[in-house]
Amino acid sequence: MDYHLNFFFALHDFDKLLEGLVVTLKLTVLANVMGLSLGFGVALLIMSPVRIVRWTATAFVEFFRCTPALIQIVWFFYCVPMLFDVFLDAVTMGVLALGLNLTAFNAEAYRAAIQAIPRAHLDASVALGLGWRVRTWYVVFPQALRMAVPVLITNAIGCFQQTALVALVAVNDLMYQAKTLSTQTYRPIETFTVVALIYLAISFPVSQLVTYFERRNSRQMGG
Amino acid sequence: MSDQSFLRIRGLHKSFALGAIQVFTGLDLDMSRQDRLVIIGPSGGGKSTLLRCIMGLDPIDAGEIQMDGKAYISAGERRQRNRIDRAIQRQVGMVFQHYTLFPHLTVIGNLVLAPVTSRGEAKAGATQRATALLERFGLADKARSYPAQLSGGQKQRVAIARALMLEPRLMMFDEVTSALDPELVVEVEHMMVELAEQGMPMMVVTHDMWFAKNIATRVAFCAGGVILEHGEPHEFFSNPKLARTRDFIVNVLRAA
Repeated sequence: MDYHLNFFFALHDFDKLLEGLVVTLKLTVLANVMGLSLGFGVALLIMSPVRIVRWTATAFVEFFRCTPALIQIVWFFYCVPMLFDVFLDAVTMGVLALGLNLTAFNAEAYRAAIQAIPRAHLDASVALGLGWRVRTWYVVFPQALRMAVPVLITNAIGCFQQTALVALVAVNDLMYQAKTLSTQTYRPIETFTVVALIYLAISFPVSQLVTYFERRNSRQMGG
Repeated sequence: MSDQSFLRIRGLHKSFALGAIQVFTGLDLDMSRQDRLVIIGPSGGGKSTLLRCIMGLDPIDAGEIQMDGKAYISAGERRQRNRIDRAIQRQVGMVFQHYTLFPHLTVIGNLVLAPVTSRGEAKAGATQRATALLERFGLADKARSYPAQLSGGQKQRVAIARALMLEPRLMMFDEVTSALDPELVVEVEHMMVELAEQGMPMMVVTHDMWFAKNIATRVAFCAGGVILEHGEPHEFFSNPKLARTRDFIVNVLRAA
């Protein structure tokens, strides 16, 4: 084989990669702020007794779950401005696309967690005279959140990886910088290896959080 | 016995699965303010459903429940919802068999949640009342514990205390000791006896025959959605009128 591995080129422009990483992290964090909060709201809508609400919410979730994220991103970047005459900057579009995608997945995680709450808790809430607002905020949400945390964190890590797709619509995140660098240096293997390690270095500790939370939960909540 | 009009149920009809499973077909019940009514009977006989209907947890198909002569729960026309007087509903407390405490809150947290959020009581005052209540029933040292750290008996006693925080006028107990180890039953029983001695009207569904014999003012045998027989405990247990009742009593006492 004639190819000689030389990591110097990849590491020489490391600061460019870090710039990209900042954008990636920004996208991930903002998308998660959206996904974690709106996800719970959408989960409640999916379980609404009002049929039209339920159908609309379910359609939303199914759309984002059953189409490729790349198409969703492309749609946001090209179709939304044309259809709705709105022109937002690239990062905002990226956050919206990724955030709504994450909202849909998190909504399912929350829904499963909410439905796992023993019915006796709802009975007890009625017996104590708690209105549905109080019950949702003080009884349902805290428990659903604790139960959903492993899946929510997994989704968050997935979102972090998925941000790479915005490189294809010219948002200068980590993956975009990686592509630029690899073409400039003619060193795709080294460049992408380094970038993969960067993604790994951030994702792995976060995935360990899942294990930590699962252990803590089984200790605290005996029923 | 004085007036029977504390709790009055007339013509209670209740079914599940849109009428496929009939539970009650015209049940009547009267209870006075001095009553401690214990309902015994086989599983699936409708005992728990009766309590749930009185609590307003399950809708009734037809009939009316009154408290102190005022309409409490009335069945709506055809498929309409029941009319429930929420003010009266707040005066009824209920304790269940399983998973009653909120696991993410401490004991004190469980006790003050309803008074603070739904009754507008100040947290300091509610906490004081809760602490006093826990002290009264020997649970003060568990105030900051989480439910997972309590025994089954302690959990049920905290659940009763939680219901008492709302100063109910009627307490309902749905097989609160059925899921407990026998040695833990006594502490819960003890608490219920203390409540009884303080004159709390109560409706108790239980398999605990000791309680039925010694603490109840009236015992009712409920099977197949009908109260087949009821009476004062001594009479009820020594001279049951129906063979069905007699068989049930004999079997339960043999198992005890």
